[in-house]
Amino acid sequence: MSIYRAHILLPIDEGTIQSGAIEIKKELEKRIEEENLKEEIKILETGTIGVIGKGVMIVVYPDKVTYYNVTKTNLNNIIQEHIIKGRIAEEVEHSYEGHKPVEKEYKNVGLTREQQRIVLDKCWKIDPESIDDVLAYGGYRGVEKIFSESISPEAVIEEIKNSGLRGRGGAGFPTGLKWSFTRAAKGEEKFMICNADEGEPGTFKDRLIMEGDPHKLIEAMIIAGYAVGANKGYIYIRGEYELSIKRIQKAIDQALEYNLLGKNILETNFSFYLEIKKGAGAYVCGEETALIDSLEGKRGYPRIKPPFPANKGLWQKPTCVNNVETLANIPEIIYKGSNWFKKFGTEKSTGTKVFTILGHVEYPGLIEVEMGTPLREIIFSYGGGIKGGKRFKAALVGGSAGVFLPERLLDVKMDFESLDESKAVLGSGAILVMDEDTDIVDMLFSILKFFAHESCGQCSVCRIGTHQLLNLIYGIRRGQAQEKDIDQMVKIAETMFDMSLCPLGQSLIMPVKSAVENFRQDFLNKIQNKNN
Amino acid sequence: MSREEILKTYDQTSDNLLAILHDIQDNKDEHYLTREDLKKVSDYLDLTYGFVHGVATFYSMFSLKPRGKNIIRVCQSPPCHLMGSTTISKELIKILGIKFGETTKDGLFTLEMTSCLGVCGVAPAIMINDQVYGNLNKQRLYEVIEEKRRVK
Amino acid sequence: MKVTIDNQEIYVKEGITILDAAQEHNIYIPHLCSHLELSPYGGCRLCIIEVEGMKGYPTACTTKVEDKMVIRTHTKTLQQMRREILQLILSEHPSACLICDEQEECSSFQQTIRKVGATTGCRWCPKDGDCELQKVVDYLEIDKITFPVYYRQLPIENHEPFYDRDYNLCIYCARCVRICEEHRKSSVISLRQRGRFSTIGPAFNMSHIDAGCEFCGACVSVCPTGALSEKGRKWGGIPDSYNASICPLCDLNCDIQVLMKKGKVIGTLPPGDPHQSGGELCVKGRFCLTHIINSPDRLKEPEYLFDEGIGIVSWDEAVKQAGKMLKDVNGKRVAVYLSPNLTLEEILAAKLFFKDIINTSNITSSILNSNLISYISLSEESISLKEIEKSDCIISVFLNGNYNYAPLTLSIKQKAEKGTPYFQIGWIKDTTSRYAYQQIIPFPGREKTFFNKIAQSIENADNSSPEIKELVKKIKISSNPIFILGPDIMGLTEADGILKIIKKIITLTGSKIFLTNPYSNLIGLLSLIDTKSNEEINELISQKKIDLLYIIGDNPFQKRPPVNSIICQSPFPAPDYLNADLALPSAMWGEISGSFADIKGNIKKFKAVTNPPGKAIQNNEIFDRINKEIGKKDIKFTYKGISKLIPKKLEMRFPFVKRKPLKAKISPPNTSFPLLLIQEKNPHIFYNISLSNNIRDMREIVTEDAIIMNPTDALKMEIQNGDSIFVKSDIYEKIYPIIVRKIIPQNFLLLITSSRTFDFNPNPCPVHIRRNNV
Repeated sequence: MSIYRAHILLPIDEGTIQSGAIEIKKELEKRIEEENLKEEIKILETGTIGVIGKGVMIVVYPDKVTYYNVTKTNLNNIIQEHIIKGRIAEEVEHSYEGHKPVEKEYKNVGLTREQQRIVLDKCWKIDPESIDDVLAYGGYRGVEKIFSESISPEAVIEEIKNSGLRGRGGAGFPTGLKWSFTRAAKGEEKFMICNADEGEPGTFKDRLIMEGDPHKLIEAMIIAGYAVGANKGYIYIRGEYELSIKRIQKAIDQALEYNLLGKNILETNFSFYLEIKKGAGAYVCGEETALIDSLEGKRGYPRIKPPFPANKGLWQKPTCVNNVETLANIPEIIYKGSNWFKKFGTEKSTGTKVFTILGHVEYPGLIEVEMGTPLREIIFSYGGGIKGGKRFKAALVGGSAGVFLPERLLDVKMDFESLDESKAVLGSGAILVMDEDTDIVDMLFSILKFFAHESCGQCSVCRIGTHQLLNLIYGIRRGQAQEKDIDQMVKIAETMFDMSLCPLGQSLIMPVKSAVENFRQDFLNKIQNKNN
Repeated sequence: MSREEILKTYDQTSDNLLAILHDIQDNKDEHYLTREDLKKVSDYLDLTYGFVHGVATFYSMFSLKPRGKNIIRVCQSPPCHLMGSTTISKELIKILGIKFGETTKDGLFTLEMTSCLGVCGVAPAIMINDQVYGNLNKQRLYEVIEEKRRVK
Repeated sequence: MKVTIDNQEIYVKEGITILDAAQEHNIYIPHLCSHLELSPYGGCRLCIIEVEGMKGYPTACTTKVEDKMVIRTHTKTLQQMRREILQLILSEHPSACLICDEQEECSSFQQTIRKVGATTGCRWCPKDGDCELQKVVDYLEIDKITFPVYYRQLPIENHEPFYDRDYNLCIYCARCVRICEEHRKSSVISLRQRGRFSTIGPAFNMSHIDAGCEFCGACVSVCPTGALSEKGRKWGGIPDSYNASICPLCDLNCDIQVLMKKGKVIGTLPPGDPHQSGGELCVKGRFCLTHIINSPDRLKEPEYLFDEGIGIVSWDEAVKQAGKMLKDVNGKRVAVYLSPNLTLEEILAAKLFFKDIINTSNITSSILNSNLISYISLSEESISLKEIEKSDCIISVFLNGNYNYAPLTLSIKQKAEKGTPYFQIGWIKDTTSRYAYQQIIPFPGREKTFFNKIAQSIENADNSSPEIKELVKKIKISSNPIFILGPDIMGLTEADGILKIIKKIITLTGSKIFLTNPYSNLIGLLSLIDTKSNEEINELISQKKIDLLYIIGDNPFQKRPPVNSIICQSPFPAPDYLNADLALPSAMWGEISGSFADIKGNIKKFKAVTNPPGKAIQNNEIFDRINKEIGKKDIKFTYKGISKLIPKKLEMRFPFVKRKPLKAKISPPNTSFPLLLIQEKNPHIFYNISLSNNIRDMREIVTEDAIIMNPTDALKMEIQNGDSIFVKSDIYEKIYPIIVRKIIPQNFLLLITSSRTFDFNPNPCPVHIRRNNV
């Protein structure tokens, strides 16, 4: 293997592909060839770096300089200045990682501001389609540690328990505890399932993990399978994520080739097989029992709990279901130890969290920061504040089943406990920022439409409740409503919260109640405008 | 691949149902499942026709109606809504002359609504077949559709 | 274990749900989707409760009891929340009457027609007064609906047999879907789409018949609303009484309950709570009985053939005429035909009457032919239905379970689902086919050879087909294999030979056997009377050795036989062509008390629930009256007197049959006659009338005298449902209408008929077809 002077990383994701990343790559290869730098410079296709809306980006390593909006014209400039002469191409929009802001006005602002990356640590440094690359960057260290030091499954679970890691899918259930349930359940055959049915609007963290570092997920699945006592794992990926499916499949194939999967992994007694299952477009399948039903080839109806999947899951056998982001923490926790992990975040919400910052912000995108980072910092420091200098109105935190937070709650810390105190939820970590011109009624309408479309129809409360809510907000939106209709909506949502079968119906209280409580005037305006 | 060839690549266990339906649908120019498909799949997996039909209609990615060469899925989730997907929808209806759930007469486009595509960073976004188009405005939308029209 | 429900300490079994525990102790918790026979669903959410130490409001139907649990079922909060849910449910269920201020006044004016097309309120709903939703509404005292109400505008489905569907009334409790799947193992209907667009029905809105519905009515029974309703009982209202009885439409004699209103039979159901009855019956027991007993075609008055034609006469006159006919004739020259649907009491009365008084031994039944006797004589070794549960390998032979033998097909399906290998030998696809480990179609036209091969394969390994090898292998490794024989074998020309081989196979493998037949009391008939075979009597008639025919609920002829006089005694009129000299209306099942014998000779009793129509009277009373007229001996024929004489244990005696060598040449299909026509005697027969002919809805599912053809064949030949075709064998041809159905495989044709003899000979018969208009 030859030593390269520098790596040029080219993040390939859905966003950059449309901006012409493939053409840029060809151009780059051509130029490197022309300059006779093939021996010195390696071009690496990587997963996303989490910045979105900045066109094609390239990162020059080891200098850690990221260039934005790369075109064929300014590419030449970068090659001339940076690659050949070794200095930063100042004319092209760029940033140093952790050192220099993108633009002068915002000091220490933007998505490239220093983040704490555990889950996404390798995401933009490696070629996700090459296991060699992953291994070179420390992939599969966790698995290696377990097998070389003969750590028992119980000890692995203990380590995870001690780390305080909690489920990142929304509910925040302690992961170690969940594993121990499945481990303790009676049954010869057990299953490990990764929930990659990322249907929550405004969330794409799982996609980026799968596209950017698929091997991390494979590694985590091996560890989890080993810990809970499963020899078969499934990754249930939503059908829309074509690239994720492709990359995960490739990663599985490579891992099989390296005996990291399959029979007697790394010549141990432990065998583990992984299979991808493709979803087909149903939000409710993000609920773990509905996901299991869907995996069995049925309509994705949530099951009645108890029995919980830990005892009776897939094919009525003990099963553990974890979210992608949760799992992506596992390899590092195992390798670096739970005490290392506990250093991040708050006491009860340890580690980091991936947030997606969306809507009316300067820099929409994805960041990974410590748990407990204040919302204000996320929106204004990482997101760069409100677009066009407008005023902040609300942030929908936690996905579509999240909460509309008004300005007075901007300082809330983003961890399970603090959000709970403010009657909000961490959810999937989506933060949808709305400026002063936004109509909350219209936003709520969009949410309710989504839920009415996705309600599975098994329980009457959710099936009819979502329908009634949609009709009520439709009336309010058109001004054909009375004030009591606003309270009627909250009442229905409350009924649904108390009585729905699964979290889909239960969670609707969050957006409805917070919208009505915090932005009642928006609703009244609609009604009064039309009535007068 | 023919339907029979696709079936043979799968074990006869019911958990393969979704994957088989996906494969059969993707192998058709018109991106849909026929009655015959569902019948053959139900026979292959020893499920009843009714059950398979129930599953196929539960999931929004399966269609039982013939669809156009390009399936345009407009994201309707809150982030895209906030960034103006309503305008995009209206514009698409205008450009294509069809409503949601319909296919153009030339069989080129089918317009569908979809839940979050997971590309909220580039909202508003649409997905044409497997390709996502984000940061859309009227002008860009027009270009995208024109391009698809050209590549017949 | 001990639990506390609403401050009441109760002791309950472990593992039951809170709802079950409460119901056992008469504590009512409102619920709509939960059903005793179904697994918990948790859909309606009405049965929410509070449990100390549990978060939120769990549903009673899905939560299991635990020791020392403290449960509250009726707190103010719970009732308030239930009202909320119920209002949500009612907001999309037409229920104007529930909240209408004038409901009281309205109901007093609702004496007239209520048969409107669509249900818009309770007063127009077929389930009014018997509706579970209504009961919950009353209980929770809903008097207003605060939400906007919607009508889903779904089309009303009333074009299919036996039950109507109005899904605008559906509350999506999915009981129907679940009972069809869990209990009936049919999964004909399923939930489609999702959320508020959910609908229920067979795939692609195909007809229930095509989807394989057995019309067992389980879905109708369990429906808590008026969404599913029986056509026959739709406007009948709430029954006055429910009376236990048994079904007389096949030899299984299932327990049923008869629903009565104002002295009329308005419906039949499986035993138990009317809404909890999950369809243990077939379509006949569930829907046909009511039609049969209320048939407008019943014979209601005695009829006498005058020189001028048929005229109604009084009973006195009729009895006088009967006496005259019987007195004039020598007993030896009287032949008697008895229906296999007669009760033991009726048969015994007939025996006394004809043997002792008339002095004839020429007693038979139209069905007692040599094939039936070969078949039924196997039943001496038959096991009972319950023993199928113990089997570890099931082989059905020519069993057509379509619309028939529900308890049998159900136990086959249940066993097969649990992993017992089930082989189905025969042509016809029925409700069990989906569960078959293998369906084996004997090589067309070589059925006897096929069974011979099985026998050979059992004796020594050979070069038989892989299917047979697999079958034999599975039988050999089983400790308790069971052969289930269907009556279709009797219709085959080679029946006798095939049955002999089957008997050999059973002996060789130590298998058990279970026999079905479509007659409610054939066993009783063969046990109580020494009969002669049908062939023997026929010969006597053709030799002009018979002067008088006395036919009771039976008819063996297709034209009037050469006898002097014919007396027909039946619940139904004698066929016109018979030109019966005297027709006497008799009572039938439901109007008489009596008993039937099952395959093991056990006696099952049932009671009369209603009176016979018109002037019809019980058979025993007719004997009594005629006996008095003849005045020979002092015997009482009434039910009371006779029932004491019935032996406790019944044993069958078979008539002697002289077997003639087979004349028909059996051949497989060939290029000139490429299709194999299978003729099946309609098993849906009662007192010699065909249910298919008598009941319109039954005609739709079992069509007689039409050729049933596989869809693929039909497509190939461009033949459509309802087309008319010529069917031609080497010696016979006839025109039939076509029905396209999947129950028959490719290259086969099925013809169901209730005529005495088959048109085509032999059976099965190679034929070719062409369109009538070409």
